[in-house]
Amino acid sequence: MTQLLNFSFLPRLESRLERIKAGDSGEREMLINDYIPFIIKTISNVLNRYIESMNSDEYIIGLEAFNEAIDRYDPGKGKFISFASLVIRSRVTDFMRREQRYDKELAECLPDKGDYLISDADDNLALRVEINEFEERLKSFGISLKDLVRESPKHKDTRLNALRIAKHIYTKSELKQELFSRKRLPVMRIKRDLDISEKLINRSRIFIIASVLILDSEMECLKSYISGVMGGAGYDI
Amino acid sequence: MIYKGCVLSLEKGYAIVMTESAEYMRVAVKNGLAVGAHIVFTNEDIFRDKRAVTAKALRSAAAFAILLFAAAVQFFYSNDNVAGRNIAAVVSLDINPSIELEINTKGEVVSTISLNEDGNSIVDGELDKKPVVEVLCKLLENAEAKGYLDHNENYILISLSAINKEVELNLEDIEEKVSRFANGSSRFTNISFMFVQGSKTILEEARQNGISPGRYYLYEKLIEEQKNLTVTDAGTMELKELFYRLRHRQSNDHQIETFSGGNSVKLLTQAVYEQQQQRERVRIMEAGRVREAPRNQTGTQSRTTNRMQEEVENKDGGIDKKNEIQNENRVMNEEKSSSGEESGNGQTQAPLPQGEPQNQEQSMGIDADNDEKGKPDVETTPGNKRNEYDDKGSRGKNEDGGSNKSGKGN
Repeated sequence: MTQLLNFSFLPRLESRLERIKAGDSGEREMLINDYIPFIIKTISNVLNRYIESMNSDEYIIGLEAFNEAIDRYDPGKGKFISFASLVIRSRVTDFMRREQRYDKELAECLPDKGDYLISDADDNLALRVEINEFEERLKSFGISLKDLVRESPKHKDTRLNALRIAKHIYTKSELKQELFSRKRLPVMRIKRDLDISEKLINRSRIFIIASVLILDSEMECLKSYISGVMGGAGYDI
Repeated sequence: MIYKGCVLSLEKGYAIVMTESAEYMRVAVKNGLAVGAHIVFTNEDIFRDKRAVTAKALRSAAAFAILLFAAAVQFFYSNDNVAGRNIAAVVSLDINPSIELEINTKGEVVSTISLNEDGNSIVDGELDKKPVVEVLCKLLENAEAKGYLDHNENYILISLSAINKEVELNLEDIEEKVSRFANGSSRFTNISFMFVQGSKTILEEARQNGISPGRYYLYEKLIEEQKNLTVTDAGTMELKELFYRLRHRQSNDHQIETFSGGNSVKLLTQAVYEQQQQRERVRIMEAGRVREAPRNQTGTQSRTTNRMQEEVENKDGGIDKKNEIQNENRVMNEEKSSSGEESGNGQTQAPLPQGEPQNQEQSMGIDADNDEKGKPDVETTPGNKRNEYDDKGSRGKNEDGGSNKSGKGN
């Protein structure tokens, strides 16, 4: 997809590169921004794993490599995209080798290397437990994560509406109690409280239940996703 | 598009992720992927179920195939069932059994289509891949064997509609060979053939209307004058009637149709026929002009002219007379012709009055022209029109008290 996109932008890309070479730094920022998906894809292909955040070392290295590629690109020597990809690959690979060597040295220096590794995994451990619990609770409603993937509303506005319903249920303890004890949505109450059609509630049923469970859990990151979608309003949960 | 998310679970072949935008997605598994891990991924990493993809592809392929099929069906059935099957021409044969022969570029019959049940009965299986003339002859034989030909008069219409220019067939060739075949066998007596040159358009129109291209061609010719004729009529009407009507029409366009007789009937092309008509028309004009003059001419002629004068002079009386003649004529026709064509006579008589006097004149008068016309009294002439000519001739004789027989025979 990205490649297709690049292809269609190709004539423009060349002219953009020329402008950047002429010293247009604003254009450079924009170009890099536009190609972030490409950079991420390339890095993650080299590593054969997902990068963990936009602050990770690999990502920074990739960005720098892309920037370098812009500077060093010679239009006479083929397409920019393949050149950029090459530069990113080699820089990231270099970085990986350095990392490995550093890790080795570190492991030699630190006798209690086990501690070091555990501390890294520790953050995830709590979350992992929470997620497992979340999955279990979903199961008690007869919902699997696969169902969730399949039946979550695709449209952003529908999702937002469903999240509002979830938040409403979560904040009204009697509704939450009813949901948890009877294992089904208090549709009539929601309908009355929020003036939302029954159809909409039923369609997003699985998604609403899952969202209530997330809100009712300790999974901070997932909760932040939900409140992120709902905008500032979500933060008071 | 960049997605950020948290891995919720690892499944076989993919991982379920909840994204920042509160979507639940599946992503491809890569190294180091663990539940609870935060990942950044792009569109490319979104897991696509291969089975789903294949199912989808299958569905679209099926849809495409159906579409293609529909288009093909449309293509075959709408225009010329032909384009896809390498058919270069279509020859139609109407006796009463109607048959279409589809011809390839080599002039061989690729398939036979019966246009009616009678058609089915004369088609036997061994016609494919044979030259068209051979097949036509075989069909004629079959028709004869099944008793579709009667001994007094038969009308056979053959059309050739070329679709592809490469076809090595021409109408004259077919005409010559089929006529020769018919003439060469004692089984085929009293047959009037008509060979018409169709076209792709005629073929298409004919197929849309479910009649043979030959009949459709005649229909097109006739409709110019006889507006009330319908395609269905043209499809169901007896060939005799169609032939008859065609010979009576006044159209100038006659280059592509040819009539030819069978055994005993002389070849009479439409062109010759038209020429005759023209000449007759000229003659009647002359007759009108020289009203005063003809005293010095032969007795028969002057009497005819007198008669014509009468007609021309008293318009009112003339019309009566014409009607009279017409009635007379019709009676005669009815006597002569079989019951089948009676229905048509009333209609087709209409253009006759103009032609009437000239026929008379012709039969009474100028010998040379009669020669050209080449209509032997003595011979059996299956053409309805011809019979009529003879009627008039004999009437003329009666009136004249003389005999033209010697002049008319050739």
